[in-house]
Amino acid sequence: MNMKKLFRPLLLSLALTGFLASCSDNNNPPAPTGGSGQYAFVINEGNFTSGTGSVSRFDKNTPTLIPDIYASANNGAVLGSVVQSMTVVGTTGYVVVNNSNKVEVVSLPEFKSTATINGLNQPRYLTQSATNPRKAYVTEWLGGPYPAPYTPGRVSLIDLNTNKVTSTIAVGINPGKATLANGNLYVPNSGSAFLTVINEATGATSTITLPTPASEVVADKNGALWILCSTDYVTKTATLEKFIPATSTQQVFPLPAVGSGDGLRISPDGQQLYYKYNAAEYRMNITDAALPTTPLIKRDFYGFDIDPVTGQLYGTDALNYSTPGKLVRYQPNGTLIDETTVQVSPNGVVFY
Amino acid sequence: MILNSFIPSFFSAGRCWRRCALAGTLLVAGPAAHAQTPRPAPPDTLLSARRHRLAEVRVRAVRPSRFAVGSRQVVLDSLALAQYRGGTLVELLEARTPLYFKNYGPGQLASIALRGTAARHTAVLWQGFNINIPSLGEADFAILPVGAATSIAVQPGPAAALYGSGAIGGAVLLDTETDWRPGLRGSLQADAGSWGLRGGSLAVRGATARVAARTTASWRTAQNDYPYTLQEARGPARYRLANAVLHHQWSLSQDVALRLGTAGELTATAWLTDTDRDIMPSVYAAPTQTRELDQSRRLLLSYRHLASARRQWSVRGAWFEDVLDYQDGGATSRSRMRTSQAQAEHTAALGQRGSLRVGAEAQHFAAAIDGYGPAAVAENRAAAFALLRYDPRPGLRLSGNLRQAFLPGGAAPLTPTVGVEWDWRGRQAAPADSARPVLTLKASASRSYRAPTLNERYWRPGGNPGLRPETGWGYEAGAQLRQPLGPRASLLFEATAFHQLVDDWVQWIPNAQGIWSPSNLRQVRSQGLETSAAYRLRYLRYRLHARAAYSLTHTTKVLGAAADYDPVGVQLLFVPRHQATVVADQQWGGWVLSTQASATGRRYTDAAGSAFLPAYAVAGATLGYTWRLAGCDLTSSLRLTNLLNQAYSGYPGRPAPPRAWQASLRLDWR
Repeated sequence: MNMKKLFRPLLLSLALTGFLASCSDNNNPPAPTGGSGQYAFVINEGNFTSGTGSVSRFDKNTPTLIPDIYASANNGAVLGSVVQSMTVVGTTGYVVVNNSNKVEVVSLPEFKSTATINGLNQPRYLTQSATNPRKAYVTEWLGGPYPAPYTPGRVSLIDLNTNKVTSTIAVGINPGKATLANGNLYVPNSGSAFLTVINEATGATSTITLPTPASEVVADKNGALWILCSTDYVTKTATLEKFIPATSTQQVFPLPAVGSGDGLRISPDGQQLYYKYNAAEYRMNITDAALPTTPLIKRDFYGFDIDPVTGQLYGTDALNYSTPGKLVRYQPNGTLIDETTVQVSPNGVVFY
Repeated sequence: MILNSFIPSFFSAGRCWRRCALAGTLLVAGPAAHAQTPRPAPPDTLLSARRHRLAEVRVRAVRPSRFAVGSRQVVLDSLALAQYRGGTLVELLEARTPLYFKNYGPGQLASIALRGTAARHTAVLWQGFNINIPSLGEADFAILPVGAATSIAVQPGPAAALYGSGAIGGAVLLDTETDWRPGLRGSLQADAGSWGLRGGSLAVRGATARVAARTTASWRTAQNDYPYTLQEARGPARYRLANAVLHHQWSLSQDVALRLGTAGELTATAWLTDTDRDIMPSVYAAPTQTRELDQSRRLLLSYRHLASARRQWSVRGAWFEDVLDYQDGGATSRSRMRTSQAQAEHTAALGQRGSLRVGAEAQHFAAAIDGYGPAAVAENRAAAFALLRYDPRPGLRLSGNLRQAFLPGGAAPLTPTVGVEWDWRGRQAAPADSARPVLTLKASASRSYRAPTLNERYWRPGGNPGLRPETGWGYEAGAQLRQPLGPRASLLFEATAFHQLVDDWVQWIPNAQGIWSPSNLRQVRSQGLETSAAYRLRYLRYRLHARAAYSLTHTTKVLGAAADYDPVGVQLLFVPRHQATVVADQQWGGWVLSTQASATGRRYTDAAGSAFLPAYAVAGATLGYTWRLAGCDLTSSLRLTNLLNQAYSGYPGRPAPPRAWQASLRLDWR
């Protein structure tokens, strides 16, 4: 049960907007999303064996939940097996369905299916290009599954006008959610100890060496990368790395000795980092000199996201991954607001 | 009394019914032997009293079920065994009994949920030895061919004292009885059916005064590429099932029994099974190349000795090897398990009305499993037991049994069973036993346990060597009414209520590091009602045997540890509350028509009871005709399944086959 967390393009684009406005002129800001901020879409991976993943639509105004909005909007159809993530582009949702090898394209907020992107292999996250708003990148795993070993994965380039794969770029083993900054797409590889850097303009690739593999990277408002590297359970502890691309300087924040961190997020303003460690959620300012020692929320979330409109915190608790999980809302200071039952294995929230 | 005349012929090739009847009285002698009067062929449901009946009497062994007073046994009749001889246990039991299986599709995993418990809570015994795969602790009923056994019965309810670990929900009993009728008999069958089903089976048996042998072989393959419809965003779409091929399934069994002197019998048995199949993914998932090879080799050597008319003892040794190779993406995860075990028991008459069996058994497990790391693991288990049957007077039967198991983590709890049955025959007005109704009241209580499986103890990471055995307390009570309707017909009603608590129920849950590990997390209660009615009619050459059965099963978690998030009070996943079956077998001259229908209630697919598979009902029929030829019979039959072409699923994302046919041609010679 190591499914990685959801990529939230809205947060990313807002973070990037802030960062780009402050320090960069070599990127075009991504197209703004078309939502009013009324809805939170909860990504439910679903039971793996059943293959019945779903997306729940939470209406913040009422507040009410439609448990399986895809089925409700599409004649009872099943979305697919292991719903991994969703990316919003304008008024369109791109739902990455990992174990069905597809990206389902839906209208927002109705969730009517409009197209399906096929030709993918174990897709994980879709990222809209900053230079061409009608282009997107999808990270994919290759090799496996158990007992076969995983092999170096790839990033597929998608033409969002035709919904077809136009080309692919080789990356490391088991690429995770990529982040755009400084004209580059930074791809973490949870099976390889490096970040793959894809230059958006030229398509050329390079790498940034890491102490251990990382599955998550975010960019702060200053264009610095924050990378959560896992422990190897032998000699190397998990670390949070700060990497400044312009100067290639790295700053290392070692986590305490046991286990790995997970679920690295950044606030919409690009100033607050959130991550999970030892079954609790921590918050850290990008200017802090050391990792926080006390958690913000003591709960083991499978997904954790920040509402860009209200600043409220949305945690998803997958419980035991077989019973329907919970969407749990908090005030920005960590005060509990409410709890809603969603579906099996909720791994994150997308705001629209 | 009668025993003296019986002893010399105990192991001779007795064709005489009387001798068999006498033998049947061994150890439960005296008045309890009232059941010597011949009766019609056995119904599917039997109380333990019926074990005395002539047709079932065997000189050889005193079966453990003799000590299961107060429990039900669902016995599959010979017609059913003949019709499904080329098939698997799940096909037979799903069609003919109200038992529920979590069935992933034809040839795919089929696990039993007996009285609402999980698959690991049913012990499957072959010749008295547990054949659940040691790593998983459960049996896949889709890889157990029917043809190797001559007797198949299901005993619902806890019976650990009799059957050892895992008999919490109940036990499935597969046995091979030596046929000492002299001469050579055999049958050869060829099958063909929808979706690429092809198969064949052979059974040959022969006996002389001192040696009896039986050989069975079966082979099967199926493409399982049947059509199904998926509701998609742009409307219903029709597909053909992929990645569900049964590449091959074969079974080979050989039994040899040898009479040694006048009091000894040596039996050697081998049963080899081999199944190579695709493991079908959910139809909502991308196609896979997942494939699994399951092989089992089971060897058994047994010696039974009749020390005197009132004492017999036996020693048995068995060696099993189970192979489970799981392949995906061109790589294989290998599992090799070897189980060596020995049993010894001594059975003696206690006065004229009782019998006592004492025995012990030991098992050694050795496993080389990729998931456990490079080193092989081994563990030993042992148990001692005492079984008492006492019939104080005619029509009253009692049993009291005890088993103490010794497991690697320490001793399992002492597991006793007590049972009582009482026949009430009304006033002594009718001229003969057979013309009077008999009401039998019965009750039993028993404790049961399940030893942790090898996976639960040794899987890396996550295996928990400190896991306690699951334990259960179960109670049941019921009544059976046997109502003769003149000389040609009879009615049989039965109702049983049960209540069971299983403690230290094991669940796998993820820890803070995301590693899944099994823990003793909850208490589960299962309670319900099992009812059945059977009608038999014989008129000239016409025979009818019709049965209807219904079971109500309510199984919920009642207590749980803090780490156990599943709610209490909700029906457990994949346990239908309602299950009903109607079966009718009609024979007229050479014709046989069997029809069956079953209805299965809603099954929840998540622990909160919010997602479910809808209820469904299916019907099927088999029509056969037998030509009696010189020295042999030729039988052709046609079976139709899912007659009404219902769309349903045994598991989410696994559509069941639509209407399908299977044709068989069988030659029996004698």
